[in-house]
This record gives sequence, structure tokens and C-alpha cells, in this order.
Amino acid sequence: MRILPNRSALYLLFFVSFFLHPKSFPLLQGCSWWEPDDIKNTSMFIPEMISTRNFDPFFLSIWDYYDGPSDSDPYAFRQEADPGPDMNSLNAEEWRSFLKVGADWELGRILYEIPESAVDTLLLLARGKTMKVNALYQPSAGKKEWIPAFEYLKLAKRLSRVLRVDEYYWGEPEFDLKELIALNSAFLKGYSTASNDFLKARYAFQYIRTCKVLGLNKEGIAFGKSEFKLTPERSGSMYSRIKGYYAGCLYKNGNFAESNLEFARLYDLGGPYRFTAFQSFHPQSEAEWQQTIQLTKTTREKEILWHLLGVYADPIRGMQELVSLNAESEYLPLLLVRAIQIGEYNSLSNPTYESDGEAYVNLEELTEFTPDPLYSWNKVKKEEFNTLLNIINTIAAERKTDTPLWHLAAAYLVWMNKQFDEAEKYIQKASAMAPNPAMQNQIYILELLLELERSRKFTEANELKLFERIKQLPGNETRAGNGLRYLLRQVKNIFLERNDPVWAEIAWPTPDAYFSESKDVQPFIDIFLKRDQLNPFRSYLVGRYPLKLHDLYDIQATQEIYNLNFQAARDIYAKHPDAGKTELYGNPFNFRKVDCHDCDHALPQKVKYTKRSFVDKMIELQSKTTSAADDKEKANNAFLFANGLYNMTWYGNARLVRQTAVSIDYFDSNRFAYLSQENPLQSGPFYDCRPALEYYLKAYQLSSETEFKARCVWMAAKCEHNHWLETEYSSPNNGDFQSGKYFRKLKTDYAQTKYYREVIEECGYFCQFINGAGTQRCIRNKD
Amino acid sequence: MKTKLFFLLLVLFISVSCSKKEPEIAFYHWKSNYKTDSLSTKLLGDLKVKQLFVHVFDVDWSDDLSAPELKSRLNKLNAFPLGVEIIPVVYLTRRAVLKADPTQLVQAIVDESEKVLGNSKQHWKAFHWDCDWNDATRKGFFNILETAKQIMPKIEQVSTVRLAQVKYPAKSGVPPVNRVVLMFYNVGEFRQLSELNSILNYSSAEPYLKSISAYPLPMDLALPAFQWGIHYRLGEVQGIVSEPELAEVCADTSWKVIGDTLFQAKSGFFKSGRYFKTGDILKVESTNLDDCKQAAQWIKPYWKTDNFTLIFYHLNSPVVYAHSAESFRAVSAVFR
Repeated sequence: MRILPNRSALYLLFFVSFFLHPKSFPLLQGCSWWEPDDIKNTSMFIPEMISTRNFDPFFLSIWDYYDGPSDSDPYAFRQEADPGPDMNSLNAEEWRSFLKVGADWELGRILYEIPESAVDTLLLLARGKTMKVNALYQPSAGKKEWIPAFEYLKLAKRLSRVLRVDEYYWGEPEFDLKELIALNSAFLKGYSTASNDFLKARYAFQYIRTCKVLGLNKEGIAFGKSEFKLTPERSGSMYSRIKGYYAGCLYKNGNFAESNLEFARLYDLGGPYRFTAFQSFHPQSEAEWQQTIQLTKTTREKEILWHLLGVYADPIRGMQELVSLNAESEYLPLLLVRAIQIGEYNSLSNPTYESDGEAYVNLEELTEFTPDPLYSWNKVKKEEFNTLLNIINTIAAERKTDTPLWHLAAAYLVWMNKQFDEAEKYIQKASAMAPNPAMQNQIYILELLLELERSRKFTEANELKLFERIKQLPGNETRAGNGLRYLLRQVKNIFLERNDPVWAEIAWPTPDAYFSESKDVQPFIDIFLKRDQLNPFRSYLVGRYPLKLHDLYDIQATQEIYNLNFQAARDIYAKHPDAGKTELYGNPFNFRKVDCHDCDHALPQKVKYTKRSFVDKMIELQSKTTSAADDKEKANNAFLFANGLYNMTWYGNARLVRQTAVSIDYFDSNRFAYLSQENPLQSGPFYDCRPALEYYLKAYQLSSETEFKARCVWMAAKCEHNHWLETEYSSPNNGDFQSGKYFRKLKTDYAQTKYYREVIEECGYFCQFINGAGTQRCIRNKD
Repeated sequence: MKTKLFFLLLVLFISVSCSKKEPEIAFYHWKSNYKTDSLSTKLLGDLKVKQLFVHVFDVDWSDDLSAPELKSRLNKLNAFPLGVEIIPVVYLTRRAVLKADPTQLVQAIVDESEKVLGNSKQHWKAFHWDCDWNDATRKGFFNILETAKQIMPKIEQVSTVRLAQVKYPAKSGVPPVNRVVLMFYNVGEFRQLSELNSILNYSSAEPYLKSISAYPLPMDLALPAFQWGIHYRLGEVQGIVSEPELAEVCADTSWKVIGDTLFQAKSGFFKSGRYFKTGDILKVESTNLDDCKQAAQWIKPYWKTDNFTLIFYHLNSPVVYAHSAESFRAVSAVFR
């Protein structure tokens, strides 16, 4: 029994570093494919304005860490944000330098790949034994001075073996305690007898590591406290690893104040240690936190601690404390960026998908849940806003480096609060102070947003100014893209307010939704045709529209095709050479006793029809139903025309006739599968077989050949059945088939024909209609 | 003589069939350490408790390991009380249900439960599965239950059901188990600050009550006797402050008391490993035995069986410690 209504949701809160989160993020459902937009996909504030690379991974993200500015190329941080070599490479380099060997010896393999037993070979070789060995081991031959290092390596590999967990399923791994204790002693002994810093540092590391694994936290702490004479200079990459385990022992021993300070010191070392240090930083209580501050030896250590508090939990408080220590601190900018991003996350809606809501910024609005005025979250938010703005202004006044960053952060903050004139002032201050390229991009985005506010009336002059701002945007910058999206969605709203749905649609296109509601394509065509007379802003919008003129003509012509107005469709296609060029898969004038689209599509076709040539042929056939020389020809043409009408419905082999840039229903083969009151069967000319039926009957009447008439009756029966499916099949208890009048007509009037016999062979329904329901030989597809 | 005996038997029969039996009282043990203490030992003795439903661990899914991951594992520090049946309870997250292989998972759960409880499965009369399954996870969860029946053929399989699952059995499915336990708490929406007690309130529970009598499986009843704190920031839940730390968290002087059960942070501060930011709110929700009695009265008209267990959540709550055996009997007596 668990005590929460939705434990999976709360796991998220508990286990995904909740401290990184501004409020809380949309709760991920265990079963859902949906992922929320990350902050970089919605934000218009560029964290890369911070000129140092060191903090990039700590920019706000809904995931644990920020994975770079680019969405198309995740993990592509700024080039200079390379975290440096990993710990293994650092270690290998130190070995190389200690052993004084060149880069051609694959030391990485010796350290990390060869088995424990192979170190014996290295030792034997080093001791002078001659033996035939793999070339990898050869460099150690006769190197007596390497023996202590190999002895260490052997112990280290033995420890790796003991700590290896091969098949992890769950539970705590169970290590060989006896071995661990023996190794723990061996490492301590090695540490005391080692004659150089290189080996001393390594023995120290392995010793404290085994202390931590064995839970000998007190021993680990005592060792750490006494042996910290090993400076970074003397112990190289081992320094941070020893410190890490020392801090871990402190934490496990409940010395949180000390452990957090140690992790902070580790964080300050930067590079690969920064993540682990941050992940391990967990203050428990306020009193203990104050104690951590007391334990610091330098102002810089205090700075790191307040910085970490800011990243971990509360950037505003972190900034307030940091600025009183050192207004020039390198640790301030990240907190600023995170504070703005948190504010932005809580106030800005700029989803990438239309269906996820509107684009707007509102410092007042809080959550999708009903905010209870009694507890006044708005007040809390407003106070936070004021505190943040004050601290930004204070710091901007005191700080000499990166001042434009602080002004631009203030500009963005007051923009969110709809103080547009104030925002402009901050931008001007920043512009006057040689902003770096990222800051310049931020200025472009902010100017764009402010121009939008000045352009609410949308005069020609406004539109031109707005377009100038759009042109300034850096094209490859994700957040500029977010800014443009925000702007265009606002422009859409302006057009909607002005009752101009066509331009609203062009400004922020949603053509599938739009043309499923509206059939009126002509206003778009008119605008597209006059594009060269539009102002540059409007022309730009038209250029962005995902549908092109030929797509619009195709939508229009397709409407005419299903109005059975083929001549009108031809006239529309004639207006653009690229309209209606979709090639049909099969011959749309074929027919079958039992429909098989794949079979039709696979047949060799002398003539490949496109929508366009299909229309031409339909016009020709329809005309010949009346103008052909004799009734037989008229009947043939009527039959072929009926096939065309049949095949362009959902039942036929040429559903692609229905396809346009905005229709998707043409491929819905499962439309009968999920019927319900909320999800009824679609209707319309695409599903209507009655026009085909009419022409099959016309062909029937015109013909005097019995076999031909039988074909017409059978095709009429198919149309009749399809119509039944469309109108009655989905009613309860109607079964999956009902015979109609053309089944009976085929049976009564054409039982002597060859075609009749062929139909019985092919169509199980008809076979059962003749021979009785459930007749075994009539049941097709028995498996 | 024969006539006398007949009447005696008749009277006995009538008396048995007319008076309803009170349910057996049992408890959940949901702390991560099992350690006996005098209060709970006395309570179990006074109430002659025969069953203790012991939460063994949660099973979640680790994407990093691509394997089920065990969380909140019980640490058994003392022996279980003599004469009390121990029923293991395992909570499965939806992620675990969706992704784990049922056979491997059930086998591993059984093995690990034996290890954690320090007894073999031969001693278990029942195994209790807890999973808040939904449409997407129903199939996976029911597969696990079917597998459990095969792996533990002689052990009664029990599953928790929530009120919504009881109301819509056709939609939610009926778990393939021998018995279910109706979890009659967390009926409200804890995410809403304005809902003063999401653990138990009539208006949230009422629409579901009628469905209880129609449920097709034998049912036990679980009632809440616990408290928790809900931490909100700008209207959204940040986390749950559980019982062991709640008193300490509430006692901090950085709170401004803004209501009977509401605290607002005057400034940012760390407490119990959490950070409360200026303006954050902590809402304390709790239920006591009077609430349980009240809930029993709501349920009684729709409760059809008298052969069931009344399980209180949970044994080590300060709420439970604050009550005598008599209060628990009073709840049970509602069903008499």
C-alpha cells in the first residue's frame, strides 16, 4: 500500500534532482510517448551570454543537465565548453610521464584492459626474465625501476576484480569482504612505503576508496584529514579523487557540514569533477549549512558555497550573499541566468506544438491548477520579481565585468512584466557597452519582442519595422527561433482580433487544421498570386507558408473532383504546371470482382495516371457516354467512367486522388475499427459509391450483352454493399454483411453467365448468399 | 431430549446468522526499518492482531541499468512478533510494470522478499501486490499477477484496488487475484492546496461508495491513520514530507503559520534535506481514528461481507501511537 495517489509522479519529484527545477515540471506519465518541451525549445533568453564556458551544463533544463544550445545537434556545446580529458586519460598521461615512455606504447590498454594475471608477466619481464611475449608487454623488459608501479597496478586490478559487478539485477552488490579488508591493508602499507608522490597518491586513493566501500568512514576521514599534504601539484589527478572519497566518507559518517564544503572545493576544481561534486552536494538543515559557511577558510570558498546553494535551490538568495562577498565573482552569472530562466519558465508559454497551448507571457498567471487567492501565489511571485530586479540592479552597478549581461537580464525580466519602456532603457545601456555576440543576439530578440508591442496597430510602417527586426535575428540560434515563433503566434492573434483569418493562418500556419475547417482556398491563391505587390513583411510570411501555390490549386481542384465537376478541376490544374502531379499507384479504370488495391497497384501499367491525367480521362469518358457512335461504345465508356468514380472513393484503388497537401484521410484503412459515439464514421463524397452505381446502371441499360450486363450488376452490387457499410454497418447487431437487390438480380437474371460462376468462386459472401450462410466451401481465408 | 437439542441448535444457528462478525484488525508496516517498540507491540497484543502487512520494497525501473530497480528496501532489525502472520507487500511503479519481464520480475521479487523478511515463502499465507495501474499498465500488471499465481501456487494473491478501479471494473479490469484490498484513502486531489484533506473527505469519496457492493472479488478494507506534509511552490507540489520528519520540519522557526494546517516560509531554509524557498507553503494533512470511524460509517451500507480484514495504514504512524486499542475496536465495531 502506498500513500500517494500517483506514485510515479512523485518519484519524479523525489528522484530527478528536484532542486534543479523551478517549480515542478509536467508530470511524465509512465506510459506516454510524449515529452515536454525542454526549456531551450521555448526560452527566448540566451544563457550563453555568459562568456565563460564553465557552467554550460548547469543552465536550466527540465532534464538533469543542459545539453547544449542546438536542438538538431544535442550535446554540441559551445566549442570551448569541452570539459577536458576524462579521468582515465588524465591518469594514463600521468603514468606515461612517470614511466617516461612515448605515446606509441598503448598504456591505456595496460591500465584498463589487460587482466590482473598479465601484470605478472609485466613484473617478470621487468625483473629481467626473458620470455616470448605479446609486443604490448615488451617495453617493460628489464625495467627494474618500474617494478613498484606494476606491483601497485596488480593490487589495483585485484581491487577492480573484487568490486566488479557483472550481473547486476538489484539489491546491494555483495563483495568479497575478506579480500577487501586485505586490500585495504595492502594499500595503506603501500602508501606508507611508497618512495614517490606518484605511487603515494595512488595508494592513498585506493586506500580511501576501500575505506568508503567497507564503510570504514572514520578511518577514511582520519586518513583524509592527516594526509592532505598531498597537494594537487604533487598528486595530480588523484588529488580530486582522494578528496571525493574523503568527502564521501564525511557524508556517510553524517558530517554533512564538512562534506558539503569538500564537495564545494571539488566543484571549484572544474572539469570532470564538477558534476560528481554537484550531485553529491546535499545540505540537510539550515544550522548545518551555516556551520558549513563557518568552516570555510577563504572568501572564495564562501563564494562557491553560495553559488552552489543558488544552483541547487535558490539563485536569488545565492546572489544576495555572493554579491556581499565579491561583486566580481565568476560564480555570479550562472545564478543570474538560472534565476531569469526560472522566472521565464514560470511565466512564459511558448510551446513548440500548437496543440500545447497559446504563446504568451504572464507574470500573474501561475499554474493550470486553480490558484487559491487566499494564499496569494501572485504576491509571492511579484515579491520574487522585485527582489530579483533589485539584486540585478545592485550587482550591475557594482560589477565591472560583463555588465551588459546584467542589463539584458533586467531587460528581459521587465519585458516579462510588460514594462516595455523600461526594457528599452536596459537594452540601450547594454548596447552601449560592447556586448559579446551572444549578448548582441539577445538584443536582437528583445528588440523584436519590443517592436511587436509597438506594432500592435499593424500599420504598413509597423510591419516594415518588424520585418527589419526579423532580418536581424541570428538564423542558426535556437532561442532566436523561439523568439520568432513567439512573435508569429502573436501576429496571428493580432490578425484574428482584426477578423482576418486568412492572414492569421499565413502568419502562423496550421494548414491541416485550417483546411479541414474551411474549403475556401481562393483567398490564399489570390494572395499568393499578388505576392510581388505585398510589402516585404507580408511577402516574407507568404514565403514561409508551408503550402505553395500548386498545393493550393490541388486542394481546390480536388474539391471539384469530388463535386464530380471534372471540367472545373481541369481548368484549375491548367493554372499551374506542378498542380495535380501526384502519380496514382494503379490504373484507376480497372475493376475487380473483389477489391484488391495491392493487386491493382502491382499490375503492369502501360499508362501511369496522375491526378491531372485522371481528370482528363474522366472528362473524355463522361463525354463519350453520350457522344460515342453506338450504345455499345457508350456502355463501355459509362462502365469505365463508373470504374473511375468507384476507384476514386475510399473503396477503390486510387485513393490518392483524394490526397492533397492537407488531407490525410485517404490512407485511413482502419476507419471501421474504432467506431464509437465520439468517433463516428467519417462521411462525404470520398466515401460515397452512389455516383459510381449510377454509371454502372447507365452502362447496364445501354448494353445488350449478357456477360457485360452481369458485370454491371455485380459492380452495382459492390456499390450497394459499400453504401450499406457507410450507412448501416456501424449500427449495433447489423452483422458484417447484408445482401441487397443487385445480389438478387445477379442470381435471378444472370445465373447462366460465366461471370456469375466466377463471382461465386471469388466472393465468399455471394457464394453463401447462393448456397446458404456458413457453407464451408464458401468461406475464404480460413486461416 | 432430541427436541431440546434441536431447539438449542436452532437458537445457536439463528444467533450466528443474525449477528455480523466484526472484521479482524490488521496493520500495514510501511517504515523502512522494522524495529519493535513497546507501543506497537502492546497495541498488536491488545488487539490480538493476527496479520501484519509488511512493505518489503518498491520496484521501479532504471533506464540506466535497463533493469528493475529496488527502492525503499525494508531493513529488518528485529524479529517479527510471534503468532502474527507476515504478509509481504510490494509496490510496483507503472514503469516497472511496463518494462520488466514478468517471470524474471516475480521470481526476483519472491527471492528478494524471502531475503528481506528472513523467511521462506512457505510461511506466507498471502502475497500483497500494490500498483496504481491504469489503461496502459493494466495488461502488464495483470500478467505479473498471473505469473505470481504460477510461481506461488499455494499462496493467496492479493492486490490493492483504488476507488476508481472499483467504480469502473469494466474499464479498469478486475485483477486476477484471490482477494483485493480497497484502499480507502488518498481520495482527494493532493495537488490542490485548497483541498484541506486529500487523504480522506466525504465529497471526494461519496461518488464511489455505491460501487463497493458490486465488486466481484472478496474484499478487505484499508483505512488511513497517518499524516503527511505537502510542499507547494507557486501552486505546484514540490514533494511530500513524510511522517518521521514532519514534526521537525513544522517546528522550524522560519515558518509563518497562516492557517490551522498551513505554514509559509518567511525566508529560504534547509530542513531535513529539503529546501523551502521564501513563500513556499507546507500543508499538513492527517487522519485520526474518529475519521476512520466516520469513513467506516460511510462504507458500511455498501459493505456486503463480514468475513474481512480491516487494515490500518500504518502501524508506526504517530497517529496510531496516539490511540488506544479501544479506538481501533470502535472502528471495527461499526461493521458489527
